[in-house]
Amino acid sequence: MITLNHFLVLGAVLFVIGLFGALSKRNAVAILMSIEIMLNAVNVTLVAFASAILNHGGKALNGATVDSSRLTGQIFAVFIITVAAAEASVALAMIIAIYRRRNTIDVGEINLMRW
Amino acid sequence: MQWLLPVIVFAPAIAGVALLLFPQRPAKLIAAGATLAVFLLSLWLYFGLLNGSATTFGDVLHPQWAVDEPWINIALGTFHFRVDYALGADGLSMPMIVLNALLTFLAVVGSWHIDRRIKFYLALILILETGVMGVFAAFDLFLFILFWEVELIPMFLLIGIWGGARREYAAWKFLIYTLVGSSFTLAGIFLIYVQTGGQSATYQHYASVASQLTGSLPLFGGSVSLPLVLFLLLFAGFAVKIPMWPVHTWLPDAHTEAPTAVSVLLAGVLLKMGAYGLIRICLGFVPQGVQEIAPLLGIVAAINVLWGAGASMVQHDMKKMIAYASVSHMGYVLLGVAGAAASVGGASLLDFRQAALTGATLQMFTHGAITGMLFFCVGVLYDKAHTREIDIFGGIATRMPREITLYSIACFASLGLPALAGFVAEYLVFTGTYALLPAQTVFAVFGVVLTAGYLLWMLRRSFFGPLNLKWRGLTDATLREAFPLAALAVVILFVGIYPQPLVDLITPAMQQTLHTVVQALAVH
Amino acid sequence: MTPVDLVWLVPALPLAAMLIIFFGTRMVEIAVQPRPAAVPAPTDHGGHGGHGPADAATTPDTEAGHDATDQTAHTTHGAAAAGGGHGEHGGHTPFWPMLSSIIGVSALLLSFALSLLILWQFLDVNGDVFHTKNLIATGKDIHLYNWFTIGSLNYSIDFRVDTLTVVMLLVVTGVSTLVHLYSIGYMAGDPGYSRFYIELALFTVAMLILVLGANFLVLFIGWELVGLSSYLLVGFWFYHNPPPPGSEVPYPPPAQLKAFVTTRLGDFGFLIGILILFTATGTFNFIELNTKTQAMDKGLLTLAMILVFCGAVGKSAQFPLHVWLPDAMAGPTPVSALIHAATMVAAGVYLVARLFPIYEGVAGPQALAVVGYTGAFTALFAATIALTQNDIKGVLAYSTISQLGYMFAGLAVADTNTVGMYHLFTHAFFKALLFLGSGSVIHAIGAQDMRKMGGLARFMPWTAGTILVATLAISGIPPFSGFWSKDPIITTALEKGNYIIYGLTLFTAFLTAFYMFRLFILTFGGQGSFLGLWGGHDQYRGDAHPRESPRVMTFPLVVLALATILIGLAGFAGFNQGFAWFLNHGVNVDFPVAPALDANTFIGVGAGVLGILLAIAVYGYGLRLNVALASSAVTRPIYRLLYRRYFLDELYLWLIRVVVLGLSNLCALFDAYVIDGIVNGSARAVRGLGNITRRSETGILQNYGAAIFGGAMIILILVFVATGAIGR
Repeated sequence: MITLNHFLVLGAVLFVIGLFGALSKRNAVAILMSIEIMLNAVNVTLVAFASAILNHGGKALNGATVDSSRLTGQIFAVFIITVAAAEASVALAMIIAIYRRRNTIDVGEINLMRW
Repeated sequence: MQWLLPVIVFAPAIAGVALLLFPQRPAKLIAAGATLAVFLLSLWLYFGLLNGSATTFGDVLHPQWAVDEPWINIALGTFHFRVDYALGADGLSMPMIVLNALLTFLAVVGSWHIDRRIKFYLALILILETGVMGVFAAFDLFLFILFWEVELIPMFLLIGIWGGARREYAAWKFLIYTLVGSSFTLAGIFLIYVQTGGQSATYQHYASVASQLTGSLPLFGGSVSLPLVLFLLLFAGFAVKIPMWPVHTWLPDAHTEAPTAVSVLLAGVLLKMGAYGLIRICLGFVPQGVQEIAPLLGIVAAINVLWGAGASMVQHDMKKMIAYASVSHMGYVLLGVAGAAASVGGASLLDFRQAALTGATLQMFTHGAITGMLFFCVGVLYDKAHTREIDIFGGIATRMPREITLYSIACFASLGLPALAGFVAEYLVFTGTYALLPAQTVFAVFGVVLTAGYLLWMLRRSFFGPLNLKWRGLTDATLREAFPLAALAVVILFVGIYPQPLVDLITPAMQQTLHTVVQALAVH
Repeated sequence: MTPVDLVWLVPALPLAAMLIIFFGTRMVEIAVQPRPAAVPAPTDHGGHGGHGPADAATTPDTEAGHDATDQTAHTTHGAAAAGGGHGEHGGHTPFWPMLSSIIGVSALLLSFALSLLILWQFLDVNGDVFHTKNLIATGKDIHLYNWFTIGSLNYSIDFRVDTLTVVMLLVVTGVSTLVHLYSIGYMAGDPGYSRFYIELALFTVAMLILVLGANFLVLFIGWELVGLSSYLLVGFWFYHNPPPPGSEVPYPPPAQLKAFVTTRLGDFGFLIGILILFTATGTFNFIELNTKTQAMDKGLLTLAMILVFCGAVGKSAQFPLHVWLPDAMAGPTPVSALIHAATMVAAGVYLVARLFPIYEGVAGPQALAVVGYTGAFTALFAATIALTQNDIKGVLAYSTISQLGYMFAGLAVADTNTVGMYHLFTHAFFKALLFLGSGSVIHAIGAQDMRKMGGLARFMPWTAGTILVATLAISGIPPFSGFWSKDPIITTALEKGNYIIYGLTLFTAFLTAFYMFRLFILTFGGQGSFLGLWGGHDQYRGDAHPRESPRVMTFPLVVLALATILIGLAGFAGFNQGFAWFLNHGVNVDFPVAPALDANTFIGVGAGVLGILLAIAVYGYGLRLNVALASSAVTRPIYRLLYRRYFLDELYLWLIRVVVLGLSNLCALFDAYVIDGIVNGSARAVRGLGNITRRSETGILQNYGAAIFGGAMIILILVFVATGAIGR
């Protein structure tokens, strides 16, 4: 049986993989992809919680009564997917713009904000 | 007639913003018109008050034509944060309001030759006028500090953009000096607000509880007198503005770098904000704090006078010399206040206290007019010669008869020649304070000799003697340039010969303040 | 409405004249005259010391080119053939400036006439004419307006006319009228002609305010205003070139500065004195002070009176603040006559005379002792310097200082202020005469160094004759006026047993006679003439063409000479006693103002005669005593000490340079390095701190990301630890 915990572990693992990628990759596109993974890890967690509430008979995990028909988690996930798409397009546009000017997308070399 | 004071305060800023929307060409005329209108309104206020309900401007408890509306009122549990939109004018602030309106108008006229970003320049001057007016007209401590800080922005930009070679240094120095000082003042305002009940921040409230403000405050294990702490916190910002030795060094730099009209405003009214705060807030609301430190304040005042005069003596730049002269002359204001608050003699010396305090207030007005005139004189010379080096000139009086006539009137007024305004104020301060702080007064009186020395020495080096041939092409002040000078000369002469109207209007406000002081003395 | 009620008109008339000239004729003058096409490049400034010895060499263009102030007279002045400034024989005055002088003179004449009327009213004791009884005893208070009132403290502008004031009014308006008249000739063609009359009128107004003041406030206003007019008039020729090194002629720009600042130094003490009195009594009014000071602490009052005397020391040029007066001779000669001899410098004496009841009756004896010894010492001190000076105005300046010393000594030794005031009264006339006469000489030959004069009596008999009268008067020779006023000072000192003052004044009388006749002989006489006094052939050592001055200049001389003689002759008819009676509010004082025919008087006059004889022997008959003294190894240093005025100027200059400017520089440097050092240092410290912390801003995106997540983790862990979620 796949319990809530399995989903949460999956989400956490995915998040950490994404985090590692975002912090360690030098290619801006790869960082962008890692961020997408982190967002999706959050999505998994949100959806898992939402369905867990539904399956729990309309009660929250701590026993409080909630409206069982609420799809709050799913709606958040859809929201995030939408925002992630918009974000990806903007970010990619920026990466292209940076590449045109500086001929690189290595974030180690893009340090205009340095003191 | 309640609308009059808000209009005087806010009209300049509105005109300033409007100026930016109009084309460049009529900008000067609009600015001159607006400032003239404000000046006339302030005169109307002045004479309207006199001929209307009262024969005087009243005092802090009874300001004339005051406005008082609740503005911010937040209750957090038992703590109320309340700010009133309170404006008023009494005998202490009214002369300053008129002086500010006059000097701003003259400053606009005196800036006629400026062309660089003129719209922005004039807009800033107008916004500055609103800031200063607000400081003098505010009757709520939070409103006061708000206007106090508002005034910084235009002044910073005016020095920083239109200034001389070291303008950025001077502008930053001015800004940071003032901000550091006023941060203490803000802390003091919060402290006094909390300590007096935390229900209202209007002047009337503070003035009515001032004499009961005693007690001590725990600090680092020990305890210090509450009025003293309040005084020191509040005074920190005012001391910088006055400027009091040893926090005066921003002034020479700011004056030297600022354009002429800005120097005029800086010396004429901005320094008075510090003195005004000292009298209105420190002496009016925490008299015991001033009393505890009055002899020391008197000593610092004497140092101010002598130090400023000494430093003036060896300056090579006319503007810097006059800036130090300002330091010297503002020492008399300090001395007057210290004398009025001194704890010797109790109520028996009330008349002398009043003479000292009235003299200090009068000195605020006369110094504004005189130093404004001096800066205009230097400005006229600088516009023609492009230098202010005293020794570089020589004998130019023959080329500039109009200029030298007015310049020497300003110098003689500044050195306290009778029949000119400076004498009235200084004489009044001396006759008042000698009874209270004799030693300090004697030293301060010696400043009169030094003042004569450096001003006349400057005239001798720059204007007298055979003409330095380098300057034979120098032309005299035009009528437009001479207009602000002549206007101020008329004011100076009038106050010097017939000071009664001005003194009579200042007196009631001072009586109320001294009433508080003497009451506090009794409690002490 | 009697004359005394209109006394405010006495200063108001010159004030009106001043304003009319300032805004009226002078403006018209500037408007009507054509603007000079171009400023002539002043290439050669031949003038040394302007009006000094070399003035004759000054080209007219020099000053004309300099002076745009008064462009009116510019062209005409340039065309004036006679010389620059006011060199030889003056120039032609155009219409508008001339109108200025006419306005000035007529205003002064009216003032003088009004003063005479007031005198008449005062003398009209029974009120037969003016229906004012016994004004002489009561005086008259006139309240003009309130400056302001603060509580019980009154700051009001009040005039008081009493007998002392009336005497001063007459002296001031009288001498001033004559000087105004004289200046028409002396200043003729000067480019600053109208300005001169403005400043003269301003001076007269100020002096009249001073003597009319009923309280310290008004007196101090006048006191400072005469300082201002002195400043303006001393610097009248501010555009002149400096004199050559070694010249005795003072230079206007530094002289005017010195005059103002030195007297201000005295005013510092004066003001403190006023403050002490005011604090103790709460009033400025002289009459009230007379009574209220009696309740004062005696020591404090004495100190206050000595401090008040400091003001007199400054204004009346007593040692050690006398240094400004000789330099003030840089002004035009009529100014020297009016301000620096006859009236303004008398203000100090007037002040002590005005406060005499307090000095004499209330304050401790130390106060008058200070006055007396300062005066007597200054009298001798200045006389010794006068012995060696070569500048004709310099000698007269030191003689003025010396005579003022006499007045103070006279005030101090006597029981009334009459003795000092009477010397002030007579001195005003003969000293004005001496100065105007010397001006006439300077006007004639364009030089003021006596080594370039000699034998001038032949060319200018009127000038010489009148000056001789004044010289005899100042030497204390009867029957001239000086005798009647100077001798009582010397004899009173003896009668009061004050032998120090007696000795000093007596010896000074000898010196006075000597240096005054030295001056007269060097200027007008020479060897081979009658007693060396009158003319002599080929005694003139200069190179100008001297001739008698115009009538407008000699007329005032004659008037003053007549006054000197008539006052002297009236002495035989008891005029002095009358003066004493008048000054003491119509009470006959038992103090004999008139000298008696006794041994003391003979000694006093004898000292004068001895001095005259010695001067005639040395300068008229060539007794080479002076040369011997100036060259002998023993006396040479003394001669040099006197000639260089005891090196006091150098000492003061050194004090100012080292002490005042040194301290001033210290202040400025302290500001620049210590205070601004702290200010800029703290700014630099903040900047340095920022320099370190900003290193954390690497600009690399991933560092920021790691920091955000790391920070979030740390906070999370802290929260967990704090809430006990970890480590339970």
